[in-house]
Amino acid sequence: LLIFSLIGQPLTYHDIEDIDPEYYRNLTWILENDVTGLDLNFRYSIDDKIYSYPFSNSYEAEEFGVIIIRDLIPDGRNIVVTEENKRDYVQRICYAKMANDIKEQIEAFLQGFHEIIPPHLIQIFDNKELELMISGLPDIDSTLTL
Amino acid sequence: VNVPHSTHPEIQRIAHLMQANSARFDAEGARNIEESAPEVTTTQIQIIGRQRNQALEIVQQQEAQPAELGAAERPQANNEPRSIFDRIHDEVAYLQSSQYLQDNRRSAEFNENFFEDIRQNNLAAEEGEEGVRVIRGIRNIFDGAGGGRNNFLNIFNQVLAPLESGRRDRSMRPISLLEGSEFIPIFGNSGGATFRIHTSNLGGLQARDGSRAQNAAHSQNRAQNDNEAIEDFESQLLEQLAPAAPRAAQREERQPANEEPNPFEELRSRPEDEAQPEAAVAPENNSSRSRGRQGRRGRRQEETQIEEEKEETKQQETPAKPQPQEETKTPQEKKPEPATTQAAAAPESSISFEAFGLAPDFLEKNGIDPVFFNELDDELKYEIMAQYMNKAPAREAPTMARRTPPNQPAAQSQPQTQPQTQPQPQSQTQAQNAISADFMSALNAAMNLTLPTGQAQPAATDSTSNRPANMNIQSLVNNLSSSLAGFLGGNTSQNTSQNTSAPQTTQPQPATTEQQPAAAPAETADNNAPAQAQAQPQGQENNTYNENLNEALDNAAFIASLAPDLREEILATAEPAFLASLPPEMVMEAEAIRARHGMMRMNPLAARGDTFMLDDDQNGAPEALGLSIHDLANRVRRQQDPHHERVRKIRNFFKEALSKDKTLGSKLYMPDEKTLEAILKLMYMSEESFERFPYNVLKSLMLHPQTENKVLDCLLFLLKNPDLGEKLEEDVFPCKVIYEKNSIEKNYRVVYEKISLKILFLLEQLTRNEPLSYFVAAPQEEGADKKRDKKKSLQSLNNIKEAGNKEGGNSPLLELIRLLSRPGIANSATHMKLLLNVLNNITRHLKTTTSKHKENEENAMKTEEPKEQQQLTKGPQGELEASRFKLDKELVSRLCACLTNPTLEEDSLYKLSNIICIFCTDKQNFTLFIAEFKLFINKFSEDANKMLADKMKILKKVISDPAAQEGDMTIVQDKELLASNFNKRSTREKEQLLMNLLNRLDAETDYEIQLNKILKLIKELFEKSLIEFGKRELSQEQKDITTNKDSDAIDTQAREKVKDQFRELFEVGQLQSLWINITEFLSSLNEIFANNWAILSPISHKLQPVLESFFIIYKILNDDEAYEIYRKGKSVRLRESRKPVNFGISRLISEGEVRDHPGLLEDSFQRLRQTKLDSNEMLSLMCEKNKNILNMMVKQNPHLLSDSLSIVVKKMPKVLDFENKRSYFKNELKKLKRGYYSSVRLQVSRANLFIESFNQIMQRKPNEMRGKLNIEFYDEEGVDAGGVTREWFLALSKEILNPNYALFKPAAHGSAFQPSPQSNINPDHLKFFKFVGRIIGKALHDGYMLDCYFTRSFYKHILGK
Repeated sequence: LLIFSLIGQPLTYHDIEDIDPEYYRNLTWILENDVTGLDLNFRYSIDDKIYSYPFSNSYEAEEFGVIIIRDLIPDGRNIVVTEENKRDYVQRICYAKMANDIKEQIEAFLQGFHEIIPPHLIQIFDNKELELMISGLPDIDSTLTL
Repeated sequence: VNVPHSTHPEIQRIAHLMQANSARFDAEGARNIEESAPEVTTTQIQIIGRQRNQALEIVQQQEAQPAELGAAERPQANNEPRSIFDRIHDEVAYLQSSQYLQDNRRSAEFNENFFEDIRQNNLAAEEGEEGVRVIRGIRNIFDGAGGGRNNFLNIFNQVLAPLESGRRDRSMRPISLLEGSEFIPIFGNSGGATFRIHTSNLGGLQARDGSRAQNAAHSQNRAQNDNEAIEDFESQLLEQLAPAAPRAAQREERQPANEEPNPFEELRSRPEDEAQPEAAVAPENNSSRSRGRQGRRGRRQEETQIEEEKEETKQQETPAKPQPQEETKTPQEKKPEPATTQAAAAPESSISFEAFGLAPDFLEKNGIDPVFFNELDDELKYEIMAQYMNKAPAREAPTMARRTPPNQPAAQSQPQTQPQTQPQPQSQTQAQNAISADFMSALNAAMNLTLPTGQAQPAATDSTSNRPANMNIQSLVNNLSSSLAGFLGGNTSQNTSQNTSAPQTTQPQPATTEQQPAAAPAETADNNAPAQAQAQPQGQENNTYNENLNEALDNAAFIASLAPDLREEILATAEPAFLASLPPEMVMEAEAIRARHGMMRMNPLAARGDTFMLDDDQNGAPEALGLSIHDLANRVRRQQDPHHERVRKIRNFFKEALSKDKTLGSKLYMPDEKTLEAILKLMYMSEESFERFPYNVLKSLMLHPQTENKVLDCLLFLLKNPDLGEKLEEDVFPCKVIYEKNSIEKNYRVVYEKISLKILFLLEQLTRNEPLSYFVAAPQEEGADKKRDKKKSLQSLNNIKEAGNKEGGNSPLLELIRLLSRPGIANSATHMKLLLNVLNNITRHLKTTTSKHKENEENAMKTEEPKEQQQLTKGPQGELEASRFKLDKELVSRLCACLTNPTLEEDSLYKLSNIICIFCTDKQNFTLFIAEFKLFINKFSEDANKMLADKMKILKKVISDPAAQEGDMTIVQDKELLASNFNKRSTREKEQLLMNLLNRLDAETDYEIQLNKILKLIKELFEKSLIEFGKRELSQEQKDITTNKDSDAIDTQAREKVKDQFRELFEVGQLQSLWINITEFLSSLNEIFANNWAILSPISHKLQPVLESFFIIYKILNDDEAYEIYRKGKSVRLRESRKPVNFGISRLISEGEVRDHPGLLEDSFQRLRQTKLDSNEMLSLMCEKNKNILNMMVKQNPHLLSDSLSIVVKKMPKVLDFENKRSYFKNELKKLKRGYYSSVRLQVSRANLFIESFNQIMQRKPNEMRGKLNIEFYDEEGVDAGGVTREWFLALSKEILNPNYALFKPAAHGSAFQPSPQSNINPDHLKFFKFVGRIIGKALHDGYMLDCYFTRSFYKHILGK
């Protein structure tokens, strides 16, 4: 399931697995099961308690103790997640978690990174290969060569 | 009046040479040792410079040589005691090895002691081996130790210089011993001072020894390249020596062929001399020049010095002759004091400047650019050559009056330099003026001055080259040599007589010319006026000269009896021998030939007792000239590279002058036909001597347009007519034969082959740097062409030519193109390559001229070579539009046919594409080419298709039915395999069989290779033409912007048209099916070998062209790279043009258009995709299917990825193996890294690693970060050879994850990290992230690992966008 497509290497909701396996399981559950009546909203909080929270179309980000609820879509906190839009929901919430929240950081990082390595050069690799090159030991699997 | 004709330096020199020559033959074995010695020592010395530790050993080696040397000459030397010398030598060696001398101060001390020692014991003065060793020791010290060079001058002055005159054996003299030394070149400018010093010393010693006046000749000879030095020289010299001359001359005459063992040394040292004259003479020149500039202040002193200098140089050169021996010794004893005082005085004046690095200042003060100044001497040689030739015809007796005597320029340049000193601070422009004026006068001087020397020199070469013959025909020899000397005496005496008149005139002249300010170059015209004035006093001299000449001719009757042609030929054939005297190993070979040829030639020579008239003077000169020039050119070639630049410069300068002053052109020397013949004839010599072909001379000569035409005409003619053979006569210019080393090649076919190669080479050289208008002469000159041909040089050629002229009448360039398909040329790779080079050169200039022309018109655009441009604007080259060359169909197809020529190399292919590209700037040509290409592609793809289909069939059969193999095998006619296959059908066998089959099949892939070639070419063409168009549009646009136009639309249309045309190329149906076939073929291969790729690897290179061509086509069709470039360039240009405010409106318009363009382009591509196969799909299909083959190819040939397979990297990186990608990545980074060599130094402490690294790294500019990291931890020693850097990276990566910085947070399971959303707790967090980005980038860049893992999503972020 493609959630979000960057040029070469699309982010998928699977990518959230190694960030937060439990959350991943939750999302998987949502995708695999009927969510009608779960009272999910398009909202999201990074708080651990998120899972016990009623899901909403907004999300709550806890910054230094203060929980901030952000909408994934306009007025998301009032839009219920249904069978129809649950994929959209998963996509958005993953994107929020993996990209939006750290957008500035990523951008700053890439700015520095691309000063050394031109984007088009690094783009020939995939993420596993990149990991292999940066960190050496592939902790995933060694059948990297395609 | 008995004018001392043999006073002239040359006579002496020749005599010596002859003596030396004979001596050389006597001492055959010794010579080998001798000749190899200098080389060995120089190299050794270089080693010493570098590895002082090994010095001891080397010195010992070096010992061996002198020992041998000594043994050869003075066997008894071995018996003499040598303890002191041994000691000294050991000392030196020890000191060198211990690096003791590296410290300047210490070395100075040491030197003082050392030399004091030497001085007191007069060790160096010892004759023989010991002295040599001491001197060599001294030299070693100075070569080895960095310091003490200055000191050396003093020492040299005091210790060695006196010896110079004392040594009987020239090779034993300090100077010759030091000649190979490292320190002389190092001294550069000031090196001259060394020589100056010692020469002045010597001069002091012998100043009053009038009887040795003749020796001064050598100094003159030596300084021949040098203008002012010579001027000074001559006038002064003659002044002083005139009285002494007759005596010397007479003596000289009496024993011209005196055979002495000693002079042998002269010859030995000759190679050295020739190799080094620049080093030695140039500085000398400097010194004398600067002295001249010192003006009247040091006038008196100056004069004496000059005399001295002259004399010492001569001393240097002269092999000690029997008579002067005693004389040389006595002055040394008698006049040590004067010598030293002189030496002391010398440094005080000008010498000290130069010796100790003050030269530049000094020069600058005088308003002379030191660089220019330095160049002058060397450059001049070239000009001198040209100019000398210039003057040669003027040598006819009747025109004597026209000749400007040497003293005239001398006088002129002297005053010129003097005024310069007077106003000390000078403005830049003035300085410039001075320089150019200086230069011109120098040229003039050179012209005149080379006359005597150059003229004499050919004679010298004459004598040397004839020498072997002499060996064989002894009687002839003596006759010849003496007559030669006499003859030359006749010639040269004329000069000397002029010279003698010089002093009288020089004295008054400064006064008059002084009033002329240092003037512009155009002044040359004025120069002639005084020259003529002077010619009158010379008229009298003329008479004497003539008498003299008659006298000389009596002697010279013999050599004179040579018919010019014949003699030329002798010279030509003997030439290699003469040349060979330089590199020793060649001498032996040459000798044999020379002897043989000598025999052959001498006899008819004797037979021809014709009278050789007074006009021998005229005829002989040019011929001899050819040789002397050759000689000079050779010498010059030794230092070619730096030289080349200079020559070009000087030539440009000259051209400029030409364009400024039209009259100068007519004054320029136009060598007569004989001269040209002589030069061109050199082509007919064996290979090794051709390497030394004086093409620089030719080039210089070709400054004269008519000469240029003649030469090129001639070359082209020879090139065009391979079947001249029978028509040619013996002995005349277009030779029928080639003089090989040991034989004469008479088969004209072979001759043509070789000659054409040489001609092509020559043309390549000639066209390399300068546009030759000849080649682009318009075809309509047909009539003129013929006329030219008719009245053209070489009468002998004429009748032949007319016969061959029927087809002529085309522009030479087109002729050349036509040549491309000549079987003789087309079949030889080297011919082809050269010819293409020539064409490329020509067309390249065509292009530049046209573009420049345009630029001039627009009066904008930066100009890279303003000089040339300037000259171009004046010339008729403006019309040189490439488009003027309407190639007809035939030519186009010829050009294209080259493509299929199997001998074509990659490099030439590229050149060919260049050529075609240039031609394509013309629309008509372009369409022609396109049509031609279409044909080719059609044909080839059809063939390839057929072949592929066949292969497919076979393959399929093989796969489907092993039994059918039998039938196939018979088809393939492989019975053996068939048999074996019958018996066993193990899979193994089958595979093998298949492989063989494939091998065979692929052997037939010529078509594909050729196709590939064409496609490559088209690709290049496509890209280039797009860019070209882009550029043109750009310039046009620029114009438009200023004129507020929007012809942009038209441009776009034009571009579209071009694209369309290219597109058409590929809309050939055949191609399409070809791709389908290829894909199928490959995929079936894939199936067969799915399990066993290893088998395929040997043949994968054969598949390569197929695949490559696929990708190339794909690229052409889909690549908008070129367009991107174009667009980028445009937008950049637009941005630039935005700056001026008034462009606002037009900017808007064009911006709008830019925005529109992509749409247009998209459209066209869309169309393309629809009409053709869906190339994108095709590509991915192709890549997927042939992944394995692709990877294999890439593995074998990694640069493919950045070349023809770049499209794969761009669009389908997935299919590539990680290893392949990584190597590509590394290579690309390496390319980026180019130019950033400085390392990034970081000093960090472990405690504050992160912050300190951050601070230091973020200060750097991005590009600086490409340099090598050099990390240093405080308080820790350790050289960073990679280990420290690795440690730093590891430590830093841990720090990056340090929760205290809150930059990253661990993922749920803790091992992987990703940026923390809360990092903004840290106010600088974004800077830190940037820093981290750099660090990680740098680690990747340098291939270091980091000790941290990130989440998958983070990696994807890195990869994304």
